Amino acid sequence: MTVQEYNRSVDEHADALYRYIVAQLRHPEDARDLVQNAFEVLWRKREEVNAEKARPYLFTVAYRDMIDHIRKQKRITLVEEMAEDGRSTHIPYTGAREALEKALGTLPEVQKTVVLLRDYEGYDYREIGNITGLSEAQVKVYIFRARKALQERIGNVQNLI
Amino acid sequence: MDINRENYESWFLDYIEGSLTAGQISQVHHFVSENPDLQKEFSEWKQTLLKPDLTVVFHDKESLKRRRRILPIGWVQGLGAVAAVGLLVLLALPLVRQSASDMPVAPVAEATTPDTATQSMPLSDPVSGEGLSSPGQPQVAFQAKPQHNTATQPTQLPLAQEISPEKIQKQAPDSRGAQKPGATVHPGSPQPATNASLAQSPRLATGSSNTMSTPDPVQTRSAQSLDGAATADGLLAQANERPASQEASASTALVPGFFRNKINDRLPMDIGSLLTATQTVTQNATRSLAGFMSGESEWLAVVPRISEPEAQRNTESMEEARVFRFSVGGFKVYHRKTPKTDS
Repeated sequence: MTVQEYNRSVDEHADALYRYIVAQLRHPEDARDLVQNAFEVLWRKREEVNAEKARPYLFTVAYRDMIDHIRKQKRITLVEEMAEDGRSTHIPYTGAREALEKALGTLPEVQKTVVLLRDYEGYDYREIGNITGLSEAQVKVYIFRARKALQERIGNVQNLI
Repeated sequence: MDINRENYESWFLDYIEGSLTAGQISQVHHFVSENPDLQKEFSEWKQTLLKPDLTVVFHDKESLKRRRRILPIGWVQGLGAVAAVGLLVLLALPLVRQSASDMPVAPVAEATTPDTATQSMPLSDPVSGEGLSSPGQPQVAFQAKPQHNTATQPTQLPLAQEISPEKIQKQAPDSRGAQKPGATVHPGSPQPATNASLAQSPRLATGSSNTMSTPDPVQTRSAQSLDGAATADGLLAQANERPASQEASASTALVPGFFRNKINDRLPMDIGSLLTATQTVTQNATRSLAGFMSGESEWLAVVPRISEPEAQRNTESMEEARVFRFSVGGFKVYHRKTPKTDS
């Protein structure tokens, strides 16, 4: 990967990577640090990574760092807390979207990750398995469990409304 | 397997995952229409699709970007140091030597040793270079040729004027042969050049051959050599009367090996060639500086290459005087060996 290709990867992948991590961690500053670290790793490994593989490579690095970060910090930030954080760039969630975000925040990390990679990035089960180290069957099971949980949460919220 | 109330959830999942065929999608729609109690659940399943918030962006992308790869610091430092040393040496030498250039112009065309003339200049130029090689008396390079002309300094070469050009042409070959036996040189004369030294100096040999076709220098030098051979006693007496610094006027300087490695006049196009050329220049300049400091050589001029025609025109005379040159970037550096003197 050349310098130009690396810089192009920044333009093309930084936003998506940042959204994925923010949705996962619910903390913009931590997400920024992880994005910077992922691109730092990509820069160091630029001789080994093709430009076409830069995006999944970034998500792989970010996922592993994120798991380590979660394990270390045990930080669970709710959407409301993020809204109080002046650094947040989120638009306040309303209605079904807010309920979905809340429900997403309650999912186990692995389920959250696979469903985010599936919906945000459009990766298929094999690609998600490559990033997370899971098999395709495991990915499908986790996605099913995640969506089932989300469906139930959404149903419960709508019942309350 | 068709969709039923036992497996509808996996069908709903495949439906929102987009992994169903058109026929299977129709089956799902038909199944939901036949089971109204599952319509709400089917709607909730469809809401589980997450959509990224495109307003969330990473604002500081420039901090992630990298500039073009540059040379390693060691290379930059090394290249800079080499270039700086080379530039300083080249610029400092003419300035430092300027004080020496203010000294009076040396007497021209002193007697030379016959051995030196015969061996180093087989094309019969026994006094070649002698006129310019007065020790300790640097001269401007472009003044070298006029100083060969004995007519301009009659008082310094009185014996040379006594011989007519016709006599010179006739006696010059004999004089070369006659000089060998008379190789007795006064103690202050320099050591003769060897054949190897001539082989090291193709330009010098060429310049000498060109001299043969030029009447004035040849006749003058022939006259001097003839004069030196015919009147050895008188010349020896003259030499003994001069200061020791002027005695060793016969140039026996060897052509420095590094001057044969002429630097390409064109600037290198790649950094590797530039580095190599710079190192070569620096090595040459450093070695020349050592020679200059030890009194073995002297720098004459640094001429912009824009004056190449003028420099080229003067090259021949300068080579006759054993003045050598090499190019450094946009300049040509003219350099001459100072003849050695016996202590």
